[in-house]
Amino acid sequence: MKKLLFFTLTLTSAFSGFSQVNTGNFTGNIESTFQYLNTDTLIGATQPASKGLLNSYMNVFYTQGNFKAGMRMESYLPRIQGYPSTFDGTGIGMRYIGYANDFIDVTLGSIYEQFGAGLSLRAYENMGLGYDSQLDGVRLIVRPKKGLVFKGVYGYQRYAFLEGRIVHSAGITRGFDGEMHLNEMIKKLADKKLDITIGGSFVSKYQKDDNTDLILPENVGCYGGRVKLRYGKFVLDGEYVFKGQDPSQDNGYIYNTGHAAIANFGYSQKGLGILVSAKSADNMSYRSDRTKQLQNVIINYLPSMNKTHTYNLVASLYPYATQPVGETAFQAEVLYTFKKGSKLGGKYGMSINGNVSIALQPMRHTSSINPLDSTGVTYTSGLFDMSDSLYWRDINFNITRKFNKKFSAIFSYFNITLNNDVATVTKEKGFIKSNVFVLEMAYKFENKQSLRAEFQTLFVNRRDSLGNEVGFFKGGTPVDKGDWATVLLEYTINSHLFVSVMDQYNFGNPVVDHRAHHPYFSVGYIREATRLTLSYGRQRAGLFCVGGVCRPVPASNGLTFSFTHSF
Amino acid sequence: MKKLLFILFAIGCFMINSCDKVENPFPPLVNNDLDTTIYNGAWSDYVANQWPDFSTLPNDDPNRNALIEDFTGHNCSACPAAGTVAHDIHSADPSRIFVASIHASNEVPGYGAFQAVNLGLGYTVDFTNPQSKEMGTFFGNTLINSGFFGNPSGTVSRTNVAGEYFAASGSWQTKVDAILAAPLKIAIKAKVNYYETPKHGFYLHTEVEKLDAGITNDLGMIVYLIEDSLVAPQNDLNVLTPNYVHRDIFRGCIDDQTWGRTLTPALMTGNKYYLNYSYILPDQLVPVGNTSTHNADNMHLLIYVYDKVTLEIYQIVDKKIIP
Amino acid sequence: MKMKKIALFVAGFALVSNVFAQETTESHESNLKELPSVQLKTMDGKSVNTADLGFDGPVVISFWATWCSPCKRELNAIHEEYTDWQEKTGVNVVAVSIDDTKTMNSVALYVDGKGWEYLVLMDPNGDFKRAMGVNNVPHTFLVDTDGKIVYSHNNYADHDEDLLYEEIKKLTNKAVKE
Repeated sequence: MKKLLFFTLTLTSAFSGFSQVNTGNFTGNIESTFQYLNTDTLIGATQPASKGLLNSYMNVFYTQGNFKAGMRMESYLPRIQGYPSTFDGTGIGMRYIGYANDFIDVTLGSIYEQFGAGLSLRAYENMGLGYDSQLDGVRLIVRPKKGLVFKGVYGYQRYAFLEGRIVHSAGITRGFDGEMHLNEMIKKLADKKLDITIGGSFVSKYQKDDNTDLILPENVGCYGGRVKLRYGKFVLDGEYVFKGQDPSQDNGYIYNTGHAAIANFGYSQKGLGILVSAKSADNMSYRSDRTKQLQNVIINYLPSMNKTHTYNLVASLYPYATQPVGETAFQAEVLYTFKKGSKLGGKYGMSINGNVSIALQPMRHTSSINPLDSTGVTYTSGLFDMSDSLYWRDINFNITRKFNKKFSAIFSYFNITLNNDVATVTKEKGFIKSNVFVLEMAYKFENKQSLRAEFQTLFVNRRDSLGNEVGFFKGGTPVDKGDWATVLLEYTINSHLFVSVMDQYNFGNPVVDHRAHHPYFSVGYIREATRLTLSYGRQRAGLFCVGGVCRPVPASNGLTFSFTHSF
Repeated sequence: MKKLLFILFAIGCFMINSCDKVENPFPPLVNNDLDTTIYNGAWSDYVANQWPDFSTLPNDDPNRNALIEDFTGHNCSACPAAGTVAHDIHSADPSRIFVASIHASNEVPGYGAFQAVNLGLGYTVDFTNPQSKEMGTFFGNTLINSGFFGNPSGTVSRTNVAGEYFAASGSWQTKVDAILAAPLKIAIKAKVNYYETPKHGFYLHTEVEKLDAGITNDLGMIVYLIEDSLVAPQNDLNVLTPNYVHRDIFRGCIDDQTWGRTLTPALMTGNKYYLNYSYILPDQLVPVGNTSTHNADNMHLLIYVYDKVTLEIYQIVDKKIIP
Repeated sequence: MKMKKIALFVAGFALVSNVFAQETTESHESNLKELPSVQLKTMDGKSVNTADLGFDGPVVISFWATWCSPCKRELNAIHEEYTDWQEKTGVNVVAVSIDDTKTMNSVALYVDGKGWEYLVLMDPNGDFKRAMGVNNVPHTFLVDTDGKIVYSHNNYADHDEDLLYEEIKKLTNKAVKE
């Protein structure tokens, strides 16, 4: 209680203080979320002992001329549902000072940085997900010429935030990266149609070996290179990283090396976009503390190769999380817009978007391996060496059409297959397949009000009593929780106020008693850069995923109040 | 004005949180009296002839022993691998390294999808008990940064390394080696007298001696009842293994107290503490809905003394029910 | 008792929102912030310094992502009026994509597939988003010819682009008067 009071009073005085400073530039943002939860036995929601939960943070960034500084104050009293238990207390969770001009950029303190696609190093934060892998140390960026950049980072990763203090990971992380955009660097190439960017990185971590069982490598390195070619409307890029021996809890203390590679090919012109991507990863879980698990202290970033969906039933029921230990994946996407006035396009145009993504288990060859030898290497696996074992397949398309000035609609269809034994999302054996249909409509009224409606249905595959597949829609028993339907209505009253009502109905649950409605009401008030929302209702347990990093969020029933402001 | 509004807002939040109604302020009393009817004769006879005299009994455990508490679950696909690690470490030195498989998860109420009885999927045995649920809730939810993020995870003598009590299985060997090499600070002597008739119960007598005067925090004693083994279904890498051998299953604390009994001066005679327990053996675990029997040959006790502030287990000894 | 608490709560909520409404209108005139300097790349790979975009007229900076439906609705709505807006006010729209490596490659696919004519900047690690104090997308800023931020708006509801246009016109009218 006292802490909350103190916090809010500080906030007020901070506000009045800022509007009077005129040397230098302050920016920042605040976000605060409060939950009051009830017990709900139908969905398995429990009430926390403290009844109320509160997460808050405030970023302040100051720049004056070439000097910059920033900090983040965080407060978990205690943390909200779904947030990892490594967040507790009130204190400073991020702080840095630095100097930057056109030639150098040096920062001391908390650093966020990404090398290339992030396959070897990505220190980033996503406060909504409860993820912060900042490096606490020093970073130097040197730009000797336009188009040429060198970066070096050295630091301890943030592991937890306890009793208001940053707790560091056990290992030191350091990395160097260089990138050249040849067309900007070399004057002769400036006007050439072929555009080339080349980069390379070296990342290494040091962690003391205190294991009495094995001799563990204390320094583990990760080398990588990347190329990006652009020719007119075509783009081709690729990145490859190689990791040295990294025995860890994740891979069972084996002495295999690891690799990750991503390649993209794209063609885009006005009205048409095509993208084809491929990814191969094996043994690429790279942490600054080899004993840690889940989403803790990961140095690199291995995105899942599939489309990010936003509709409720598609995004939170059976999503796919990257398998860090290994996967081979492919994705293809096309977006085509029919021109306005054309036959299919109608008066306002129509777009069709199609996407396919697939992930497979990498092939692990054990024939040449003697498990009794003392090398600790348990298999060999090549680049894009894949087996037939399916992890994930997603085939989807959507059609967007504006019918007149008032009305537009989007129709989407998703066919998703998830191997639940590997990318476990729920307590079910084997594959979970789903067919999802979504119709989204938006209508603008005369008085500047508008209504947006979403109708979603998800059908899962069914099995007979012997466990054999019997298809969809009828017969047998549906897998997991059966079929779902969601209706969402969002009404905008004016430019400041909106209300929304959502209901997820588990109409197809094999257990009749569990066919529950999950109603959820929200009211939001937005004024310039401030947003306040109040929500009340029942939410089923699900997964909240950002970029392939997923967190399980337990079921909840209660009130959520959130406030964001940026200044 | 703005400050007043913020205060009102804060008060609103506060009022929503602050209304637990406590019916009876006093926690229920714990009765530590011995059940004299477990002995198949006159109680005075037991006291005269069966009650052990620790001055004549040797100290079986002159070195510090270690306890691996493996927090597991029968529907947890990665747990058999950790169970094997714990068993291998124990087998290397079975008289000094002990294992307790505690079926509890880190969510409130210490009972989650990994422990749930699911007759439809084939997980038919309930491995949980009130103490395991309380431990799961405390370490997983109440204690900040215990390191208990999910199953499998385990403690080694509840020592705190780099701020955390729990660690993944790969770190257990190192932690056990550190415990075994450490000097002994608390000596425990224990004797079990089991009587199959009339009630298949036993008396446990213990003597605790503080060897290191530097220990100033309160001490507590906890006694685990461990079922040696049970063949039952287990999720092994997402394959239901119906005949998996579950080992060292934690059945509960014999005095029903998750945090044991505090060693108070009232329990001292001379410079040593004496704690005595009586307990009736429960039936063995079977699938839900089936009947079962007790089997003293398939049970043993783990008796340990720990620091009530740091939670570190200073010494642990094991005793079979039937020697 | 429970109802009273909820009533008090809602009252507090309403009062607090009033406070913030007053806060932002005060800071409008007294302290205008400059665009921070962050090095980003365009969709074509060229380096750009955000404090030095090189545009003559007012600039709209809109943070979006390929997975953010309201963001796409906002930018598609502006796209329909863009030619008109540019003729009348000389405004330029910079769409800053916060897509990370997972979805970054879909940016060009979407931008060209829809035929947008904005300057698209890539911010995969959120550096510019952090520097501008953006909590969540969509978030749209209006920057005047001196590089000062005069308008900041979070969220998108239908017709918000009309309100944005009003603000752009205010700037150009001010410029004409001066």
